Amino acid sequence: MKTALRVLGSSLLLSLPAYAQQASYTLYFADNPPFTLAENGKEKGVAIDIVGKLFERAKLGYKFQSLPLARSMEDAKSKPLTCVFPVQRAQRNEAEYAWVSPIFVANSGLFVNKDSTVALTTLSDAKKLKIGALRGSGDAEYLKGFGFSVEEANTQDQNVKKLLGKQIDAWATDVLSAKYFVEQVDAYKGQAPRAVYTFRKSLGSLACNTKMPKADIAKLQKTVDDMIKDGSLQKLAAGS
Amino acid sequence: MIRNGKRLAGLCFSLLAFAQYAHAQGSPDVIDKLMKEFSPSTRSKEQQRKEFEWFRDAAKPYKGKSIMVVSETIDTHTYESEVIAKLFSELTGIQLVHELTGEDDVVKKIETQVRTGLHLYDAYINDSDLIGWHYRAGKVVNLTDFMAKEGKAVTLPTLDLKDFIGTSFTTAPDGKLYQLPDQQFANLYWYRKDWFDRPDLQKKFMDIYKYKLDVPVNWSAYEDIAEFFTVHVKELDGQKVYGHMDYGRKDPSLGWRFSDAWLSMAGAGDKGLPNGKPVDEWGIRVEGCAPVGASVERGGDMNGPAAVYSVTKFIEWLNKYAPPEAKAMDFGTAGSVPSKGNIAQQIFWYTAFTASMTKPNLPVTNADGSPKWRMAPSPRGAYWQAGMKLGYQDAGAWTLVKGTPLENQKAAWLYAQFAVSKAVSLKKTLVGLTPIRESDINSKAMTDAAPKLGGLVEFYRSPARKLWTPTGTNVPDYPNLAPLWWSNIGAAIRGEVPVQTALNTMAEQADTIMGQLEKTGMTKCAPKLNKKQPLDFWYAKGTAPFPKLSNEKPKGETQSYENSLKSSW
Repeated sequence: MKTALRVLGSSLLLSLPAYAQQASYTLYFADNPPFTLAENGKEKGVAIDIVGKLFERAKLGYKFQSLPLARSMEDAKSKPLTCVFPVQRAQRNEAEYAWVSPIFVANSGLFVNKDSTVALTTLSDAKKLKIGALRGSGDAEYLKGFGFSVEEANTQDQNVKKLLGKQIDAWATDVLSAKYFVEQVDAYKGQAPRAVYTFRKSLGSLACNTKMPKADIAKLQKTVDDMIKDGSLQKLAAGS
Repeated sequence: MIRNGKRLAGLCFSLLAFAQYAHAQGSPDVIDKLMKEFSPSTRSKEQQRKEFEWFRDAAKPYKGKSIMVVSETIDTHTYESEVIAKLFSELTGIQLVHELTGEDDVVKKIETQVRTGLHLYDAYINDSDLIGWHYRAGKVVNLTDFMAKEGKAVTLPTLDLKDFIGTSFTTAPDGKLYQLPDQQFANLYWYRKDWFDRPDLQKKFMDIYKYKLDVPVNWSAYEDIAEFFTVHVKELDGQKVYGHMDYGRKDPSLGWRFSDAWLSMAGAGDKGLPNGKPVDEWGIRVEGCAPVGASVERGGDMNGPAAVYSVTKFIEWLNKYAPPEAKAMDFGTAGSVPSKGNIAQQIFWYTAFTASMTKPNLPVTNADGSPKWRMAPSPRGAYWQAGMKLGYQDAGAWTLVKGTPLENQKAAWLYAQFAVSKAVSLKKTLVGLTPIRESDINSKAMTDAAPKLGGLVEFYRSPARKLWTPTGTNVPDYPNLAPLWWSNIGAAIRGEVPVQTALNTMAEQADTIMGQLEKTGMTKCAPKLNKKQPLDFWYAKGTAPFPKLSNEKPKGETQSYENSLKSSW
């Protein structure tokens, strides 16, 4: 899941519109499929599509840059004209960035094997289960915060395999990640895990340096709101 | 995705389907289970059963429907999320998720749903502090009309709104109810009565300060007591002790520390209940129902002398008398600190923490379960005058956002009422200690519980609870004005700017936001900014803002706990 530091090549930049070539803003992302990933020197993913469209519609120059997670968060905190995405906007990090939100809404749930008999009425019913989650993910942190026993894995692939091998009872992740990673596993064809309980929503956001011009933040926020109102953000979020 | 360097997983705009669960919804067995859990109750067994049967029957059209609601994380909502929601689902067959999150996240989410029309949740438990925005923005459901019209068939006949103690907080100037109270708490003074009663400490305090160590009436006494424990007592029973506790991390929860009536406790604003008139505790001046300014130049008091005094004292006490780690703490991390047993007093203590402060085996609890501490009326600052509010009280209240599919609203409204129904609320009150109903407060069960609750029951049974009030209807856009508090005062706490400069900036920014609202318009009572005037113009009016006092530290004054109950409560 971790990627080495990599800056996009000039060939990609040449293919972008004029304001994108100005590269006023550097937009950091970490390898986090299906939202953001770098593949064959090109960035892709649902969040990449949304943020690219956002800057294009706002007519602000930008370039994407893949960086390890911790560094991208730190750089966006300290360097002007930089942003990092997608970040969950939360009370703890509210003061550290200027925000454009939401660039999407995540629904997180508990997934179990198709033949599992687990039935949950409330989240607390899952306290008896062994839950797997991505290490350091918002879902892992959320569940641990409420006293759940969470077995963290370094990659989502590992979670899928552990669920398949019944080493965990349930996998806590968001809907899109569940779909994406399950599709990568041949053994799951026709046997996809089922969502047994949705437990939270979170607002995926663009977190920018606090010195970012207020006018640009306002322009991006208005553009996001317009994209939600005209339905284009939802279409991009659905991968269409 | 990331949360402070952490990944956040997920993306989707559609809610997942749940697994069907195999309960016999609403069967006699389920009702028996409910009767067992929700005991004691102020209702007779027959009345309670009838109320549960009504919910079961009213919910039939919504059986199998998935509903999602959200609230902040306090004991009351945890009980709702884990117990009440589960039993409601079993009774009705409505599949319910009651998500718990941070209060700021709740505000961000309702603001997002209102701003964009994106359907996030079917209902919110949202602080009544936002009533001024809800009323003016016209984006939340007017419950009075909803209950009479489209929601009539799903409105509990025995809801008994008159029994609620907080509906005045959630009723707008048009007389309509916009939010239904779910839990209610106040901000009071908290102190270690066992330490204050110790003869050796009494003598030592008298020797130094020449008056009795007891419940502080004013901020001068609070300050003296804070100094006494931190500087002079230093250690008790082998552990380091502090005379003050607070929190100073620059994040949204720092804002509540001030916007929750701190300025009015110092004496900013005017006399008047539930909020000062013409200037309230945010320092916003209102004429008719229109906010006209926050800065002193426009007749507000957000950056007036009393406001500066209030923030200056906050910083001074945090730096001099609180544990050093308090500066990096927030609302959540600081809340449990007094229960660890090394804090003598806390001027600004939320009663929502009562349940966690009464757990057995805590250093602040006696062997018989009774508390070593008491809650008492909050001391007043140098600018405070009789007739002003004494502190903050709020109701987390059920709020429906317009645009939510009507069938979802109705199903969510059923859960909202279930959580506050007489059949459920006494048990919920005993668990979470955030009372909402007069009938619960006056119940025998609360009388029995009182000795272990450190004064909570006495407070809620006294007429003085009406002197602790929420933000009120004057604040026209809470979600966008609230960040001004923590961002500006946070800078002053860090020493980046002087207090006066921070508050000048904050007041100017508040005026700018209100000016924008005036320009764009609101459905009702939009701001109409006053012209800027010299300070003498406003001082001559005899209302807030008031000039700086020549002496901001009058003699310290204390009173016995018993007298504090009589005189203030």
